[in-house]
Amino acid sequence: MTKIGEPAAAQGLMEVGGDSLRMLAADDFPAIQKLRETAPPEIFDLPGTSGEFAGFFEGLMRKPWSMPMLCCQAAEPVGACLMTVGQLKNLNAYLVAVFDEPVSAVGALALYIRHCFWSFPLHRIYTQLAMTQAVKPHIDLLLRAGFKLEGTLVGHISSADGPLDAVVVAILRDEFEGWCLENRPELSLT
Amino acid sequence: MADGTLVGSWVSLETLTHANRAETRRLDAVRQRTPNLGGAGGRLDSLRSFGPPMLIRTRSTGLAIGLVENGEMIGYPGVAVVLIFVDQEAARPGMALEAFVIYVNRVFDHGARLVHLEVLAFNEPVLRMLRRRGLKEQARLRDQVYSGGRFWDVAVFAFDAAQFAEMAKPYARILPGGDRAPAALGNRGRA
Repeated sequence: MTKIGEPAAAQGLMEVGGDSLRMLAADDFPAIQKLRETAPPEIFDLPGTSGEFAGFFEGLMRKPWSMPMLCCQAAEPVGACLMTVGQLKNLNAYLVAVFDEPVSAVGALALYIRHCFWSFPLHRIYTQLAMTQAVKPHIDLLLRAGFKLEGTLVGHISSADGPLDAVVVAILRDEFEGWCLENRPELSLT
Repeated sequence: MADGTLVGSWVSLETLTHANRAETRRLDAVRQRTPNLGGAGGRLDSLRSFGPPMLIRTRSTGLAIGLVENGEMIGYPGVAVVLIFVDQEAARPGMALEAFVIYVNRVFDHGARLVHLEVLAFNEPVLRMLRRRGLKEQARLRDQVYSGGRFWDVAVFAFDAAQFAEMAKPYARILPGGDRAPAALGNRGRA
């Protein structure tokens, strides 16, 4: 029997069509390892060993509103999402979203964003991504899911090939609601 | 340049120590009530910084009027987020600018590749000053900060050492090392 307070994997927490979400669990290192092989490391440095994953998972559990989840298609993990929150009073969260096939992940991502706005009184979700060819499909994915481009942080990322720019994209609660009504009414929060 | 005290024409900057702790706490309390720069308090949790935080003191009266600090932007090695707070009740025009120029030079001396500034959209004097110096807004973070009963946009600016030297040129003669005594650095009295 699972003890109260002990993290445990849920079955599909939310399922729409073939997309579902479930909380990331302590034994999900294989799913993260698989994602690490396909997702660009510029987006997020996923843990590479089971020991690193244990520390990473424990750290996430301690952070408010981190909501680490696996995004699944046909019950198979195809991506992972989590949030980091700086100051709670600002009601915004930084999104980390990595998918093995971003081209086909808009439904899974929208489901996660919906769950963020549904779970917490968030006003804004944003992220910053390196402008590289490898990351571009993830930038396109966010834009297709209703995120808006807010600008470019010039030369902020240092790389072996020299400084790289980072794009800033964000979505506000009412923008997500508008996106849902136009694209996925079943995800509407109202 | 050694850590310790940096001396300008109007202000000196000193490292935070036990000796100035009471003044630092007082200024910090004022800062909490008057958030002029986005991100104060929550952003400077990075492990690395490019030089220590410093207290700003007027040279004429010895009064502590502000705080200036930096931290490496999380996820962006070499990028320093600089925060400056000056108590408007205590400072004269131009003092904040002088402190800022002295401190940013220090941040670059300590190895920062870029300085990153986030300014709340209602902070028009600072936005005007940055734009007048030719800086372009790189991003506008919509509704990023909750302050005074509503959400506010945050304007993001950044520059490297060469760009900063260019920006500071008009002030070079009246800043430390220049050949003129400061008369007025601020824009009070101008349209």
